[in-house]
Amino acid sequence: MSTRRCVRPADTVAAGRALAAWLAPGDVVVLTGPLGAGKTVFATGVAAALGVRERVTSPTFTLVRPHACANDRGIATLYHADLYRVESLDEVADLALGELVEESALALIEWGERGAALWGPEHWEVRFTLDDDEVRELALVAPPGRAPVGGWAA
Amino acid sequence: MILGIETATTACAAGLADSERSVESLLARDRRHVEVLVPGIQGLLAAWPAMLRDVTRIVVDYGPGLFTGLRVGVATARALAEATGAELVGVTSLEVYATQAAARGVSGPVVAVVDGRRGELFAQRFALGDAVVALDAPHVVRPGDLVAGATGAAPVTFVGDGAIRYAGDLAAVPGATCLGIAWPSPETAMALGARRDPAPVHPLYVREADAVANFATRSRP
Ligand SMILES: Nc1ncnc2c1ncn2[C@@H]1O[C@H](COP(=O)(O)OP(=O)(O)OP(=O)(O)O)[C@@H](O)[C@H]1O
Ligand SMILES: [Mg+2]
Repeated sequence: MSTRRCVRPADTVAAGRALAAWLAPGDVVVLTGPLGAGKTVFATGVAAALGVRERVTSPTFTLVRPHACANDRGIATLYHADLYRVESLDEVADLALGELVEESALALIEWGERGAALWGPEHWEVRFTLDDDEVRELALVAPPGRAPVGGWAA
Repeated sequence: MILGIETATTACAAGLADSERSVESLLARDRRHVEVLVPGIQGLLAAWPAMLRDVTRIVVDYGPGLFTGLRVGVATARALAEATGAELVGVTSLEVYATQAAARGVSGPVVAVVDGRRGELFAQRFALGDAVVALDAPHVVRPGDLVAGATGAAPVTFVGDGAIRYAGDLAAVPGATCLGIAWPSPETAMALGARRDPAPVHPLYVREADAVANFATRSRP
């Protein structure tokens, strides 16, 4: 696990762009950390790198929002989910996000630890922590056998 | 007459059976359950020939397996049962695979394995002899943990679509045999379901048990 310091929002966007470079169709990325930690800001960076045109905002009220992507990496859709308001695990299971992404998509899931057992061992996790000076530390946990090659702890 | 519905893998299949004969048909291999299931059932009925109202029992595989497929299979089975008054019976993908292994002459310890996706299997242990006896409940396991936990003296047979995807991993168990079967057989499901009491059916998503506990222990800010 390596961590990356993000002092300004733009740093967190850049971290999202950096992660996007290692992502492949079928990947699930779980974003964990307190309210206002920067999970949605991070998602805008991932989305920008994958060629999402529309504005990426918090999907809190829709649970999951699909964004069409334009890239040459075989990722046609980015599913951006936020489980903060989920009341029961049935709601999460019913989304079947792990299956939706299998062919040509990926999922970014804020508060994704709430469905932890549904994702299986093969997912990415970015853990956000905030220090007293509002500086974000982003710890990256890669799926087994997918250690990113350099560059995260920038 | 019995109608069998199979949607636990990326394949979609269906079958018909009465006391004299049975047929089954692969409708699609590639996750087109929504599109092919109902027309496929209509096609089977036309070929038999029979009418939907001749169906007195519907046997549906309710998992574990591909959740997006099972939702279609279970919803269709329920709707048809509701519309026709047919009895509804569920069988699990794992018991169908174990029964298929028995039909192919396998005996002794068997682990039915369904591809759980995301690096995991849905698994259940069986002892095959005069009958197919379940030794535990369906559960989620990583292939490596299944291999590490395989300590029995008698050589084990892994059966199911999981035994195709993870054949390489499972072969690490000394003496193990992998019997890869890409989707559970509707004919086998109908034979199992013919002798069972009707009951309400919901998709079996074995990850939920673990996950519910996890959910309950998490406090919200
Ligand atoms: N280094 C930083 N990285 C990210 N955001 C920062 C940073 N410094 C300040 N911010 C501000 O913090 C806020 C982060 O909000 P964001 O919606 O991304 O959080 P979140 O983790 O998605 O919260 P929630 O759990 O409510 O979804 C933004 O208003 C952003 O401008
Ligand atoms: Mg957010």
